[in-house]
Amino acid sequence: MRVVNAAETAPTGYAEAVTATGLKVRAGRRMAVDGLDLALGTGVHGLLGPNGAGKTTLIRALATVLRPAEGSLDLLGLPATGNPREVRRKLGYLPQDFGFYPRFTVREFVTYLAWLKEMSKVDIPAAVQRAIEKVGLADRADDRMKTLSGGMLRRAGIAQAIVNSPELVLLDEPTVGLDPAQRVEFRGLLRELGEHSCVVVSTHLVEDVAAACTDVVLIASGRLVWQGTPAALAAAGGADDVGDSPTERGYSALLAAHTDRRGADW
Amino acid sequence: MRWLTLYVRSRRVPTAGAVLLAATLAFWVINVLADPSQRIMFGAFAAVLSASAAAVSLGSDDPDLDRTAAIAWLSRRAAHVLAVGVASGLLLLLTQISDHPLGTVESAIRGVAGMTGLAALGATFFGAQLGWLLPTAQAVVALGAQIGGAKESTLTHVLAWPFQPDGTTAATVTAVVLALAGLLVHAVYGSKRVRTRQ
Amino acid sequence: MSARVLGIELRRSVALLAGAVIVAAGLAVAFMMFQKDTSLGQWTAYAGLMRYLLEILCPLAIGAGAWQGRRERRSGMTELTATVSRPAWQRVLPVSGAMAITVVVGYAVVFVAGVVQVAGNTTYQHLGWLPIPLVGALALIASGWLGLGIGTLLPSAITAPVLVAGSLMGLIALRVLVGGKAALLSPELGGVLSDHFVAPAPRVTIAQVIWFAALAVTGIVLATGIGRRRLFALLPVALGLAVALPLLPATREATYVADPGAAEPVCTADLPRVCVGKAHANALQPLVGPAREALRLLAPLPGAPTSVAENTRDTYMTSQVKPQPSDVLLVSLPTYWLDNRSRLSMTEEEALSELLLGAGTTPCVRYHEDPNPAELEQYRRELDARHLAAGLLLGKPLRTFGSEDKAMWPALQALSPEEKHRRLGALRTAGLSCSGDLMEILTGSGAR
Repeated sequence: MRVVNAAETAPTGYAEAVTATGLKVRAGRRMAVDGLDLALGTGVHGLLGPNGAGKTTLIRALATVLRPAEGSLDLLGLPATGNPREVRRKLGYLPQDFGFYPRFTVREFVTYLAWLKEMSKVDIPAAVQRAIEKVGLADRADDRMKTLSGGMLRRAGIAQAIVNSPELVLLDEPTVGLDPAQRVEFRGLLRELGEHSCVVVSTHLVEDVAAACTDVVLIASGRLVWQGTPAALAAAGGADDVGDSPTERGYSALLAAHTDRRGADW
Repeated sequence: MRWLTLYVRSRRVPTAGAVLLAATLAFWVINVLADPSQRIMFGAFAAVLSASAAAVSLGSDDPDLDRTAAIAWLSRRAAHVLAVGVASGLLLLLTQISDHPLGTVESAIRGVAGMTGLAALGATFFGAQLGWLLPTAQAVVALGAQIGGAKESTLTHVLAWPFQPDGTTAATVTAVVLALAGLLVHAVYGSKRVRTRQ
Repeated sequence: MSARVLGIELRRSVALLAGAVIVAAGLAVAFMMFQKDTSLGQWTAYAGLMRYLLEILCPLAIGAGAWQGRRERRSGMTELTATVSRPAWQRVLPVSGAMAITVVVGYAVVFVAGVVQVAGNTTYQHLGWLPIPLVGALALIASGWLGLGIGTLLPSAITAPVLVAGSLMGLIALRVLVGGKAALLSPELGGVLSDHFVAPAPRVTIAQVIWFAALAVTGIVLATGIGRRRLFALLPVALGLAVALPLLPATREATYVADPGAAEPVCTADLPRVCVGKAHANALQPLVGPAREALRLLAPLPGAPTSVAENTRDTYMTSQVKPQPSDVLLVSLPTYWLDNRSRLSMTEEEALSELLLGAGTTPCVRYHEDPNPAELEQYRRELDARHLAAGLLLGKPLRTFGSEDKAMWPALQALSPEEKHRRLGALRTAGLSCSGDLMEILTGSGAR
């Protein structure tokens, strides 16, 4: 079977998949993303940051759920303040709090989402099968969603996110509930997706970032703290920083430096 | 009292109570137009509605968590069912002092007892969210017998017990049996566990 | 809309269950109705009876829709569906389509249950009744969609039961308490129809189509709408009411108009001629004997009738057209004298007595529901006179005599034949034109 990737057919009318300048986004009353400058191209971008840093708010803004309060945000070359329909067709999104229709089978669920993303009728069955195979749920494809375990549900969620071969993939905590073997497989899938699309993965697990990402985005208090390769992240850590692995030590070192600077500002 | 407040809130009693109050009031307003022969039927519908609304309070979001708590659930569940019945019964009886009562005293008590029993049974079998299925089904059966023009017999007195005039023994017995069955079965087994989220 | 997604919704939404519930509840109530009524006898009456069922089925469809409407919020899918490109109004098409299909199929199954019997029973085959179930199906769709919309708006577990109980009671209240124009906004069409010579007025059909279509659109808008856009849902309801209410007739009686096809006379080839409406053709044969006997007994009276015809314009004799022509003896065949096949269910003797009431005239005092005591007395007095006149013609007391009749009978019976004929002739003349008190004429008290 010939796999058609979005990148082969996609118009390349934009330089970067995501461009944010002075982006501010509200989460409720709080300005959770507060003056963020960011440019993301093709590849896998690991979005790191402490609790409450604004990761989920940023992802929701990229997913066109939230509108920017201030600043500019371009998604796939189009301004996020315009009609999002064109962007949404090329979007894959796995929310942190992932809902599903319990009575649907996995195949029906992914088919339904493919239809919601306005895929062409003839492409849907093959694309659904491919997405389900990629997340390793082929043997459970015709089981009801409510019979799946937590990790399987997460994978079904990833399947719906990638079914339309999206150019922009947003995964909020995709590895929650996956067992170690599944996580290894999932990293492989991420690398594959990152060859042609812009993949943004929000996670708490620094190892996932080290293993699968081409780029690390570290944010805190709604601002960009640091952006670079995983290798550079590992190099940033000193021997006395907190963490079990070089990347974790790099993460805490960069974060500590940021809070220090913020502290000095006050 | 603090425990009771939390328990009440965990069971969405405020919502159920507000709906119950609003529904009874709305029914009473419609009932003002009715003549006495129709009031028993409208009173029966009010009982169906209050039992249905109250049934939602018979379960919580996480029945498993409840069940593992070290509290004597049996007596508490029985008390909850009784409280539901008394609350909706009082509302219906309150309309008796007006010029346009919803049903008669006897039919109101009978209706509330039977419908509360059915709601408790429904919550036990299908989960609290679907506790209303049995009272509603009962209303449909009773109305069907009436619209279908079923002949007077003990069977129709049992099937359409909510609409029978005062003093119909078979109807009263049916309501009492349903009330006791609902109280007992719900107290012993509690609401069926239904998974709503991941 | 994608057939594949529609198929998914048919399998997985509440739609299938809604259809099954409609079939189960509908068949149960329909079979109870079949036991009692002669509504399996004529197409229009049968279709009207099936509309009566909707007083139960529509609330069930509303409840099913409301339960379905909760799905998005209950399953936490709103976050994901907020980021898809397909517009909201298209997203509700599969689930609303699935629900429309199952409720209509369910209603069709219930409707078909009696179709074979009706086709075999009636002598008046036609398709004029088709709008009745079609409007009913539209009402069911509107109910399902309205439930879907309200369930989406208020995704609480209490919404569905409140809507079911509320609409069950609301529809009954609309029929028994409100009445008039507004009652025709209900999906039922005037309860059990017992007149076989009428069809729904076209304006009623049109008004109901507009009204239910408006409700259906409201449901879809509610199911689609986000935030303030939901306010637009009020627009179709208001518009529907504004158009439908003026179209609807002011009284319930005007719901139906005469159906010339059903009333088309079917007559005997030989004289004296006896005719019935086409819908009652099966009643002709058993009626001929008593009808000709009645003509023979009336023949000595001045202005005696020469033929018998069924009263197809006024079966229940509530709106007598007077003066009445003297040459035709009108006879009413209401449903309680007919069986399922519209054959006479009364004996020849009973038929003869009926034909001779008031010496072959229709009543003058209109009977209506809820009469005051004076009206009731007037009505009873005329009825007594009409019964006594029939008894005199037959030469024996009727079985239907009341105590008053029985008391007066011996004196009247004792009169000479000439006097009897004179008084009966005067009574008949008065009855045809509604001039004078029949009882006074019969007892001779008014003659002096």
